[in-house]
Amino acid sequence: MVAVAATVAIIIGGGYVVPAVVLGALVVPPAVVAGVLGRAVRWSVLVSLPIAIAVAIVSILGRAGATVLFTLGPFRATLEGVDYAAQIELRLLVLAMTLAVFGLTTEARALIADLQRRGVSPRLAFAAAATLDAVPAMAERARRIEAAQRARGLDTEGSVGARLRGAIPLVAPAVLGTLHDVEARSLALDARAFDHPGARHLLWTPADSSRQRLARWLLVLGLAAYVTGVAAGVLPRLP
Amino acid sequence: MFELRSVSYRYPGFARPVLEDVNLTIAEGEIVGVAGPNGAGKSTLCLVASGLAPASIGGDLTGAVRLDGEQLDRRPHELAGTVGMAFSNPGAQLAGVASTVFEEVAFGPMNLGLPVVETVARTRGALGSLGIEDLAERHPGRLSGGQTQLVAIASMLAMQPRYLVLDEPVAELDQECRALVAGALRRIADGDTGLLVAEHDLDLLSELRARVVHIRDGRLSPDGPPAGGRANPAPRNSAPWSSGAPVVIRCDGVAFDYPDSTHALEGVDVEIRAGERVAIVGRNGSGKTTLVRLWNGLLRPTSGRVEIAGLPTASRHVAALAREIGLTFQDPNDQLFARTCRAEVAYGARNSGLGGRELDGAVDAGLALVGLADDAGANPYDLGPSKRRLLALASVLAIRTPVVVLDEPTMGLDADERTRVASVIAALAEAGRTVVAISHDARFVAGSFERSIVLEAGRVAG
Repeated sequence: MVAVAATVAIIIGGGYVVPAVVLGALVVPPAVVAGVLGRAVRWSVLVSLPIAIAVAIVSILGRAGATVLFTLGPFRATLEGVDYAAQIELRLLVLAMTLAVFGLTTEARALIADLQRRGVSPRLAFAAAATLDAVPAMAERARRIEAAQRARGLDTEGSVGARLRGAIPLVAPAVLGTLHDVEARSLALDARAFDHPGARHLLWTPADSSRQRLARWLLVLGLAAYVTGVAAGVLPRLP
Repeated sequence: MFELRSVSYRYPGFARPVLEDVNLTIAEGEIVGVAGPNGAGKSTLCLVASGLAPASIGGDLTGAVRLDGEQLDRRPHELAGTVGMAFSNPGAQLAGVASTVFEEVAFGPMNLGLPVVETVARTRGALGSLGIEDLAERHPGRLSGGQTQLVAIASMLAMQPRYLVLDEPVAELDQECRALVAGALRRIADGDTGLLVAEHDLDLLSELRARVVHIRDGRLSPDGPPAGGRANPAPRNSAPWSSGAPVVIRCDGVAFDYPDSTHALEGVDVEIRAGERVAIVGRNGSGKTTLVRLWNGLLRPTSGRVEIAGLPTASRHVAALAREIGLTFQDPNDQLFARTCRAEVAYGARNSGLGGRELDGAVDAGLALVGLADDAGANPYDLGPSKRRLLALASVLAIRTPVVVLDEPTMGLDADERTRVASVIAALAEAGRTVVAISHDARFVAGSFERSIVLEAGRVAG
């Protein structure tokens, strides 16, 4: 619920205050408590950096505005463009952080239990949880592939050029191996009655205290108020 | 009674059937072993018998698959409590959503909609029958290959099928785990479950007192007698050669801890001289793979010292060490990427500095040694799993390193292919190269290696 509220809030609103509040109040505290802040920051920066660079170039040099900071050939960098880019990039970072903290702090079994409790079909719940676990599984596969190729002389400790040349031997086995595994796993799931209709009796359900339920309702109410404020023009929206 | 009558099966997109006119019966409590070379149709027979082919993977089936006289044309989930299937690749069988082995094994019974009490009882029973209760709280993604195999079999046992199909159930297991699985399968059969076991290991089929049928080119030969087995020789831990050959691999007091604080190795002292043939043996998870990865710098020791050809590995790049130690990995799928077998084999050799005719010669020789010369232009992924393993071996042979280290080189290979690997090792030894292999295959170890290093819980035993 925290991830949903944070995501909706930063997508619909403008300005700097709301994303900063979302980051400070909803994203960083659970990351600190779970001890994953460092990993979440690294992952978020890594994922959002390429998009952030593209957004910065397009927004700063392409957005019309009255205050020209400098010119670059036919392009004019404007203060309004910088403001717009900063707002977008703050959102991008908070969004990536939200997803990272969600992924790093959510157990697959908890997600399955929670989704099924809310009436989601077992197949869909499994698919969502498998996606959650797919990232560490891919990382583990990537480590094995890297080790296998380095043992055949792939240079990952040399120049940038040498590392770039090593991309195909690293990426191709990951893609081909994943496709191969998907086929094998699909058969294995069939053999384990995954398609069996009807309810599952789960072994374990996550704790859900009255305080947690209260916190979720407060988040829903806060989010509703915020959406109303943005729609009414009381709170800022993206320029 | 489970029976296949005049069954032929053709995979989708294939012109020829893989199984032709197969007739087979399995009674309750009977164990039927299917033996035959790789590519003969053993795995396909397992898929058909378990109802996964054609229901899940398509293709054309003719003939009849019957249970107690009733045609089995139900969906796989309807068959799941009746016929179970354990695959040869246990890692791909994991559900991928379980946090513990207990949850992993319970996944199937939960899918059947059983009450929690029964799911728990079945799960405990399945873990207990294989003696792996101690794995219950471990993460299923962090087990050794053999442990994963045991969990995969336990996952099927928890479904309590009347008939269980197992495709190479001991392929990745050490001798102790293998005996454990054999005992468990025997007990399952004694409990009236019929078993169909596709297996290269005739000794296992003998231990199971299985009725053995042979398959070749998709056709079964008449039912044969139980396979005649002989006891596997016990691994022996022996001192290194006292010859004057130089030491090429030396470990002094080596310890290694993984980042999750798993103590993989502790106080390991190893000395291997040039030209030796040494096997590394030990239980699944005893630290064998970790040890050899320290030799080519993929891992760095937590403490102690590793020297290759007299130089410490600490200050050397993996790419440089790869020219001295060629290492094959357990799963060839983790390295194959090229469009042809020739290009795949050339990759490592080119990285090591070979070029022109020398490179071509190394590639041709590597492919010829493993018997894949005729497949040079084929796509590696068009080869079967055992040929892919041989291709990975060829890709390391072509680097022409003085030391060759093989991690489970005979896993999943049939008798002819195992003989081929043994001849490769003999050829390397004749050329004066040092060969080290991690293996659970006691007969292969006894036949191809001069001595063994036995690892137990991260230490050299004895």
